[in-house]
Amino acid sequence: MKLYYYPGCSLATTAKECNRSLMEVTKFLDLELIDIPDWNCCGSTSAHSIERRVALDLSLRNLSLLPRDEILMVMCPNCLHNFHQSQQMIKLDPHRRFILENRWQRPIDPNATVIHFLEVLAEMDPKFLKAKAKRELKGLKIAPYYGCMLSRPPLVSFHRCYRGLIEKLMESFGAKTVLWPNLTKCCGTFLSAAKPPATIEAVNQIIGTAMESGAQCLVTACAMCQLNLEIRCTLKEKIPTFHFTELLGIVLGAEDWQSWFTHHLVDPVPLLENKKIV
Amino acid sequence: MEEQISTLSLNIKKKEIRFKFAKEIERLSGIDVMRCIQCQGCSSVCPFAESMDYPPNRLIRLIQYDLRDTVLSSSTIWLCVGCHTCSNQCPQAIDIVSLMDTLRSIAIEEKRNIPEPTILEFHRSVMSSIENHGRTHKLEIMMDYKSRTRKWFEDFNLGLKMLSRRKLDLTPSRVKNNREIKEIFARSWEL
Repeated sequence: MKLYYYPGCSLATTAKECNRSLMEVTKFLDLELIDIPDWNCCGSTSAHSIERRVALDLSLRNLSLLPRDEILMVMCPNCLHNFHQSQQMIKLDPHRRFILENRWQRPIDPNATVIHFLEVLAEMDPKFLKAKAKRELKGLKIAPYYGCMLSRPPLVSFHRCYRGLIEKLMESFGAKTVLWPNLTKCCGTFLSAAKPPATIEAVNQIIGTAMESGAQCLVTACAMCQLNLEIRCTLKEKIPTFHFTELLGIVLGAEDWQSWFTHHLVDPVPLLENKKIV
Repeated sequence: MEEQISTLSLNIKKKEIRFKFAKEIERLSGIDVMRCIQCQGCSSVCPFAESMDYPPNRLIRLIQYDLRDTVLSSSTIWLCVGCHTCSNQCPQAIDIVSLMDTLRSIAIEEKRNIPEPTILEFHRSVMSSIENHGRTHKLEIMMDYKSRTRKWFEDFNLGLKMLSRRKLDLTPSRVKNNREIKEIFARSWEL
């Protein structure tokens, strides 16, 4: 299957390991990813925080680069959010769409299908995924962490809710997921840089409750959350945080996993070796 | 506070100027804050409510009371990270993140005193990086932010750690068609 892919700034820079593991996973699952040509940053949180028009235009430029009737796969929940929001906003503001289409000489499709990679996996036959697995996650206790990924503001509340998809995926390969209270608590995004004390408190609470619930690691679908959980945790005992694609890549038989984990600040290799996963 | 109370009583007396601020916000963003029923759901789920001077529901109440200055100079509008946890469970479907965006843009436009200046500087650092390259360049954002806030040694060790783990690229990844990005950042009247 062919999918258009929007990596986003995080996966292109600070979360290269996530991108690399995604590439491995898609290779095993016979998915062909084509980068959107010349994509730009979606504006992250900062653009809509201080200049809403710029934020809208940045997302729409990416959307205009998507060929007609193609599916766009996004890995970063925040980018995905910005795509969905901007699609709704030009439905309400056709004038803006007209101006931008004229300027760029490219059509913008407000109804284009923009989905997260988790949704691609959810659509796959579980038997197919199981048949592809070369390793198992037996014995691993996981706290699934979604952060703000599950929140949908009123404008886009009709979109799919991803709750349960990480659990389903990880449990199908033998891992156990724990029930815990903070799976949707925000990691603090930019406050990690602009107001560290507030983030440290939030992150310690997230990781602390995950450990109390018996989890040995956290699994997230957001590169930003993964970074914040690693750099802002001041607890004495820490547990590693995986991108879900990393565990999936290991299960499907990727061999270059060691190079992914060199980018982690909390080394997850001892845990994986302890559980005899690798 | 006295000023607030006098404005409040004044507004209640003169019915014609009631809800002026709420109407202004509705005109700018389409959000009707009068829908708020003060269930306090937003404030109970907000992960950063404790750091704010007014939790979201109280900020909305202040808007309903027309206390424009108090709202625009509150730290709440800057501490909101836009995680949508509040609006996700709002029974009245108020888009609180868009509301905060709108309040922030009014505060910037009117050159209000900003209680959390580092947060605005951080946003500006990110925006200037996107304007220059079309994508964010983390190292440049960190350096730019440090030069703006003059906190050179905050998180110094963390920066080194991230560099050693190759989390920070030295050179930015760029958009080829930079003209389109520059156009997006240009003010609409310049086009």
